[in-house]
Parts: sequence; structure tokens; C-alpha cells
Amino acid sequence: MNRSPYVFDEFFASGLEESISPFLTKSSRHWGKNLEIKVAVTAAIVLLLSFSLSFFYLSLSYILLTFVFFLVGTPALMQSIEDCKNLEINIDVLMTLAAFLSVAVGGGFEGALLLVLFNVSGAMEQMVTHKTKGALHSLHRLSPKQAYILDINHRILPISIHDVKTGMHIYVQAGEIVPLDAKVIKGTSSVNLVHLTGESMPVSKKAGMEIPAGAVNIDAALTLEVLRTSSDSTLCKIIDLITKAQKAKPKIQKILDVVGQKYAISIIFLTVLIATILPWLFSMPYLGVEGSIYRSLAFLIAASPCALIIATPTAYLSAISACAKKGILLKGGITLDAIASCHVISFDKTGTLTTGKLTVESFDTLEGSFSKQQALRIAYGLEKHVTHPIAQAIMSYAEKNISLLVTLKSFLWCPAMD
Amino acid sequence: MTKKPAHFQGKKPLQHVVDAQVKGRITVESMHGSEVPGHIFSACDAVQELSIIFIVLYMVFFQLLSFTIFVTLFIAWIIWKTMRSALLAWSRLERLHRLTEQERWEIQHHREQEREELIALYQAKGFSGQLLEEVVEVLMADENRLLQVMLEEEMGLALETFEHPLKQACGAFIGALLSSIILGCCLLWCSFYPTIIITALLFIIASIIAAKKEKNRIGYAAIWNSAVFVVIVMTSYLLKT
Repeated sequence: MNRSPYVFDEFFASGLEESISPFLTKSSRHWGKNLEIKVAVTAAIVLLLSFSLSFFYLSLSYILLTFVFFLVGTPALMQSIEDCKNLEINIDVLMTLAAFLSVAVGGGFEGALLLVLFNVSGAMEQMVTHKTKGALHSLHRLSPKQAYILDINHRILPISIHDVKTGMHIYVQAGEIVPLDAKVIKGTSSVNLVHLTGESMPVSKKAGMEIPAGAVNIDAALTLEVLRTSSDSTLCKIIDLITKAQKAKPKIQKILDVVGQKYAISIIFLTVLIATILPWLFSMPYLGVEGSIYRSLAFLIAASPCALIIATPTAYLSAISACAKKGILLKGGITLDAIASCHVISFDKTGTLTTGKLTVESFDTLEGSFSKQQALRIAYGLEKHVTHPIAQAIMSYAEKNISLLVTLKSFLWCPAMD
Repeated sequence: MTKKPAHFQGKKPLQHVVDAQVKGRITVESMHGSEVPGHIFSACDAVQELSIIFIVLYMVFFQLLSFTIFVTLFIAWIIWKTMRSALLAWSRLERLHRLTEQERWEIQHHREQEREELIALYQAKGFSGQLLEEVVEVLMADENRLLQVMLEEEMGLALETFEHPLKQACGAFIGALLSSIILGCCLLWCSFYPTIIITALLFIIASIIAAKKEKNRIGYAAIWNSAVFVVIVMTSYLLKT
């Protein structure tokens, strides 16, 4: 059985996402898609059921409440422990603490609601950032893992780009992606840099000129001298930049993180203070409903800013959805921040405002030379051997407009001189 | 003699491959040994375990335990089997992903040692000379293929064979729920001996389905599992009396 190798790159680029795990059967992978959202929705439904049943069957209601804590409380608790281990006392830790301690003051439903809201917020954040991953996946697909070298017998051999050293000569055929930053040694061709620079018009390259990794070689085979290894290549740097940008949070979120950390530490400090100092100042017991511990817990729960946590992703997601309804696709919250501070927009027209695909509208022949049909046949015969976008446009026009296409007996391609 | 790098830890490439295969086997195994992964198997497992626990309690505490206690046991068992199945599958998946990440790192950073491992692997398969060199070169050139070969040949792992943990848990849930309903009905409407017979049938049918899934001999599985069931029932009964 001829089996093509599994492509692990996307799996690693996604951060080992289980919905594309190579070990799971294809038919069962969809179970792992949008898991956080599914959990949030399930927990919300179970909480609603639990609350409704609390008026009739209290025990059953508490059982369901336990499930809510299990579904959304466990991940929150794990995340908080991780944060504490990294000495990050943030709003998330405060929220989790408040939610779990609410059980101690008889506010299990309120605690569960806090956790559900917290989870919904996380799920929405995930939805906001999900769109940015597409760009990274397409760049990973663009990045070749192999280069071709010529051995002493002039055979073309594949070699992993990790084994290619600077100064080595590699061979790139027409239609292939340039695997590493390199200089043209032999050959002339056009390359497309649309994925790297956004420019969809091909750029001509000849001996002595540099080509960045990720460029698509269009016309003819090239022999290149490698200038940089895979880890230093332009494409690798672009992927690094996008990965960093992906991890960056929207502006408001960053402000909230900074303020939130100070706020959380203050509240936890005050809670401990209330619990320990109050009995000394007033004649108050530690335990019981009137006790200082109970009061400090009530203070902690009241001070946990659930609205603040859920507000940011909700606002961003609403804006993204509103734009999507009008046909505007935004890649995450950072794009929204950028638009908010944008006064002037410059467009690279080709491939952005236009499709970048050339078409022939009409043409004329010189008076007394060929007829239109003859000229188009000759043009078709010539352009058939070329992969340039203008040639493609002429060919497509000719195929639609003439019935008898011609084939040339011989063809010689001479690249234009500067 | 040149000093071997830390990758092999003083071992020969072939010994390293053998050790890696053992590591791979341990990674895919569940706590209770090797099994066919999947929702059907987890369903059968849930049925068998619930049948055994039920029959022991039924024999020992006959007419002493109320129906409510059994229902509580069933519900607790359904929750336990479902969640345990999901957690075990997630744990296995985490181990597999970690191993894949480690192997990928090895491929990127210890290329020479990986080449030696490949040579050892394919020499053991009978390749030699120019052909061996070419095979190794082709595999070394494609990182995705190399990683797949290393996972499959060196570690003995198989891609696309495991069910998603939630699907597996769903199987366990359905198995535990179905057996709970059947055994609950037995408690309500059946007398002592029919209950034992139905429980035995449930246990044996689950073992037959599991054997079929494992492509084992069904007859053998049925007889062996019946024997196990009889031993458990007799032991419980005799210890009680």
C-alpha cells in the first residue's frame, strides 16, 4: 500500500491540538474541536438545570452543581495553580478562589455561575484568537522541508533543509518553492513573492540576484547558492514574528492584566487582613456566620470582578462578528486595536483591492498584418510555453475565443535584458 | 575510540532502537495492560466490571441491600467508568504527544545519531550497501516521513489508531448505563437464580464482543470468561456461607 507520510508540521504549529492529533482516528478527531466552547455551553445548561431543580429536588440539584464545578472548576483550578507556581497572582486566580470559597459561605450557585462565566470568557477568547492561526498554518505549508542538490553524478537528490549549509548549491525547478534564502548562480526566472510581501506580480530574477525563502519559482529551473540556513531564513523569521504576534493580547487586555494583578493581590491581602484583624478590633468570633472568616470570604466573592473578565472578550467577539456580517474578516482582537488608531490606509492594490489575476478585454492588430484570429492563434502558440501571468491571461482569452488552436514546431525562450 | 554522544547513552544504535520500542509500547499501554483502544472495548470493559461488582454484592448481601443502594452504586459506577476512561485516554494521548515532540527534537538536533539508528533499523530488515545508503538518504531528506518512520519503526507506535478520549468515554458510559439498566430490571423483577444467569450472560456477551474486536477466538473467550465468572460467584457464595 502506497501511503503518503503524515504531515506533522500543522500539528506542531497548532501547539499539539488534539483535534488534529496524528494518533487519533480521523473519524474521532471532531470530538476534540472547540472543546472549550462545548464544555462552557454544557456547564451553562447543567447549571440552569441545577438551579431549576433547586426548588423541587435539592439533592439532585446539588449533584448537578457538583458536575458544573467538575466541568468548569477543575480547569480553572489547574490554571490558577499554574499561575501561582509562576508567581502570577492575577484576576483569574482571584476568580477561582472566590468561586470555590463561595461554597463555604453557602453560595454554591453563585460560585458555579462565576466559573461558567469565566469559562465562557475563555472560550470566547479562544474564538477570537483562532482566526490568526490560519495565517501561520498557510506559512508553514509554504515552508518546504526539502531542498534538491546536484550530486557529483549530476543526479538531483532531495535533502532535508536542516542538512543544507550556507554556500551549498541547490536546484529549484519551475513551480517549486525556494526553500532557503539564496543567490541565483545559474538560470533566469520570475518568482512570486505574494506570501512574503503581498506583491502578486512576479519579479524577474537572474544570476547574482537574491531570492528569499518562500518565493515561488514560476518560469524556469534555477541553481542557487544558499546564503542562510533554515533557522535564519526570511520565512523562518516571518513565522517567528507571526507566532509572537499571535501570543500578543489586545491592548485593553494588556492594561487589564497589569491592573488586574495589583487588584488581585490587594483583594487577597485584604481578605486575609479582614479574617485575622477583625476579631482583634471588634469583639467578633473567627468562625460562624457572624465570624470574621465568613465576612472576609463574602468580601472576596463580592470583590471578584467577573464582569471585567468577561467584558473584554465579549466586546472583541461582538465587534468581530459584526464585521463578519458585513463581509469583513478580522484576524483577532489586535487587528481591531490597530484599526482603532488608524487614520490613513494605504493599499497595495494588486491582490488586495483587485484579484491580481490578469484578463484580456480586447486587442487590435497592426493594419495590413494578421487578422485578429490569426494573431490570437500565434499568440496562443507562443504563450503556451510560458507560465507568466500575462501569458496565462492571453491563453485563457484565446481558448474562449478561437476554435482552432495552433501548436508551434519549435520554441526558443529568451529572457528580456534590463 | 570516539566517545558516543549522550543521545545513545553509551549504547549501540540497535540497542537504542530496542529500548525505544519498549518505551513506545509502555506509552500506548493502559494501566491494566495492553488492550484494543476504542469506544466498543471501553463499553465492554464497563459492562464486565459492573457485572462482577454487582454479582459479588448480590451474592454476599442478598436481600440485605436495598434497591436504592444498588441504584446509587450503578450511578457512581457509570460516573467512575466514564470519567476514568476519558482520563486514561487523555493521559495516553498526552504521553504519545510528548514522545512525538521528543522524537522530533531528536530528529532536528541529533541528525547523525538518527541516521545511525535508521541504518541499524534497516540493516536489521536486510538492507545493505548502496540500497541501504539510498533508503537512509531518502528518509533523512523528508522530516515528516522520518518522524513517522521513527514513531512506527523505532517506537513501535501506530498512527491514527486511537479514538478521541471523549468518544472512548462515551463508549464506557453507554456500556455502564446499559448494564445498570439490565441489572436494575433484574433486581426489580427477577428472582435469585435468573438474576445470576442474566448477569453471567451480560458478562459473557461483553467478553465475546471484546474478543471479536481483538480478533481473538470467540469460543475460547466465552469459555474462559464463563469460567472466571463461575469462580467469582462460587468464591463469593462459599465465603459468605
